[in-house]
Amino acid sequence: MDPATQQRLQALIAQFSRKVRLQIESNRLDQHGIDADDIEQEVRIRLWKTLERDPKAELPASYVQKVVVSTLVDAVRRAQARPVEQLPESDETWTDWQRETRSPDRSAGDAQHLDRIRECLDALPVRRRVPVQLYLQGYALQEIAELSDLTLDAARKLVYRGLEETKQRLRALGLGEFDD
Amino acid sequence: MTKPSMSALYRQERVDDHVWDAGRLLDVLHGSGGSQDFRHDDLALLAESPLNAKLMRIAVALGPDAAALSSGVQQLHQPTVARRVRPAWVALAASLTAAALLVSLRSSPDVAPSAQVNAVPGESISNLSFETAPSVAAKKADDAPIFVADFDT
Repeated sequence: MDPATQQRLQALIAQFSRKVRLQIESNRLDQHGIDADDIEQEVRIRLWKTLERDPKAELPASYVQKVVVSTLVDAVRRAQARPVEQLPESDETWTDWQRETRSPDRSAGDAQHLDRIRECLDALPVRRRVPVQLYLQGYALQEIAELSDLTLDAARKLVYRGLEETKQRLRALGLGEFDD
Repeated sequence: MTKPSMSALYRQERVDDHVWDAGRLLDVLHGSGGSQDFRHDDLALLAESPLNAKLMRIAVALGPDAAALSSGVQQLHQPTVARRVRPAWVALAASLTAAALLVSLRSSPDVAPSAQVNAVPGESISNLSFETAPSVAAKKADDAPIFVADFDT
């Protein structure tokens, strides 16, 4: 491999690794003890080693995704094996997102709400339930459609109808109004 | 009063949430390694696991970037291949061109130009030669050199 090609390949891999880092940060994987810097570097090294072993390797997209997923799974396992440290709370938690800690009452309330939400979701037909669950996990409609083998329009309808039905059930249980 | 968010509650970290094997996540992502029903069952389980759903979401979101990286790497490999293949093609093309040129040069004196077919204009359907056109003849006369020097003699 000539130096110019090598330099371009390294730049491409570095660019991709930065995207991995951004995804880790935006998905708050730090809550699980994941260091975005470590993952960025690890992905870069693994991809580069593949090209060093086989300079003609074309790195298909599925292989690149496999490298990312393997790196993440390994990192989560390493973090879970480490002694438990107190991790900062997510800023996505509702109502008390600016506070460092939550009161036991609030946590108990959250747990109760979560149980009711799960019950309401379980009452949905599977075809509608899974897209709604993925939506609640933060997936975009297009991503839900691709994973569930649905058209975008079908995914949109299933999600919105499922959400409405879940909210109605929560109201019927006397839990009031919920946001998506 | 702020309404509680279903998604924030649903995404809260759970004690019993264990990370799956990379292979299982990739099977859900690419739809391989089992029947469609099996994949949908795993997708349903994944949707209930905030940790695995996050990992999957990262893999899904990086799909276009992974494709772009793959395409970039392939493009960098292509010129190398072209360089290796080029000499053979260039040699073949050059030899064919040379052969064609040689044949045309050798045959040109014997071939009667269409102008030499003394067709009566009224009898021919068309005359595709421009050589005998009056304008061409006039131009040839205009282009004729006034002075010609010959160094051979």
